[in-house]
Amino acid sequence: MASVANNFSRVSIPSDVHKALCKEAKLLFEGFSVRDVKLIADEDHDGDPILRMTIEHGLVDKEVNLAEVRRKDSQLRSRAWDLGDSRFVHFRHVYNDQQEVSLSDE
Amino acid sequence: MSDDLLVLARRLIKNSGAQKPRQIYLKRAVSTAYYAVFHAMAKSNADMFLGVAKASRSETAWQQAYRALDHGPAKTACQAAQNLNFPVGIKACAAAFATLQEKRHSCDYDPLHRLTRQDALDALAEATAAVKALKLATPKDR
Repeated sequence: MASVANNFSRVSIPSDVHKALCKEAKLLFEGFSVRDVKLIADEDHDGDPILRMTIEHGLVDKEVNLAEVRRKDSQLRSRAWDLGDSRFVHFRHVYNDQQEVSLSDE
Repeated sequence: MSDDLLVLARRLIKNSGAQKPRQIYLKRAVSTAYYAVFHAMAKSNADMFLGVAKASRSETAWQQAYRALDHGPAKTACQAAQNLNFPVGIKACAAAFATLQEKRHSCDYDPLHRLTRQDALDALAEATAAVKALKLATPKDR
């Protein structure tokens, strides 16, 4: 697995993969007031190739359920794999300072 | 240990300050959340190798198995697990390990790294779900 991922090194993201993943993110987080989606190729702290997706959200008038966000992140990881990019995707969601969040869906 | 670490992470966030949260509290919370998952995984591995019942296992061997978990190789395996046929809970736990390890590294070693309260809550939520998922997993999948 590592050898497959390493083939990517810091190679940039193919434009069709980049476009598809950003589009998918906007669709998946439709109810979460997406302002911006950024996707870059990078390395993690060990130097392993990864993708970093940063999703900026506007203020939503309901609590954002972090468990739901995580499930959608997972769907996006699977989508990247389906598109042929085996790099692990790290997500950061940037919320409005006033945004209320809930920790689980229990 | 992992449950206590989750409680500690929650307290750190709660005590970080309402208006302008202190970065050190948020950073320690994220780091602690990672270690909650790390120790849950270490215990799970040791239990799978040597058994849960203390009476029927060598405590020295169990301790060695517990301490054998290595951050780097474990992260690589957890990333690879995303594309293997594991149950959803195991995949979520593995993803949390890789994700939180990267966050911990930024929190512990990057002095310019800044967190929001939501970032820390997100890490706590992910760690809590990961520890729970690992506990609920069948021995076959662990």
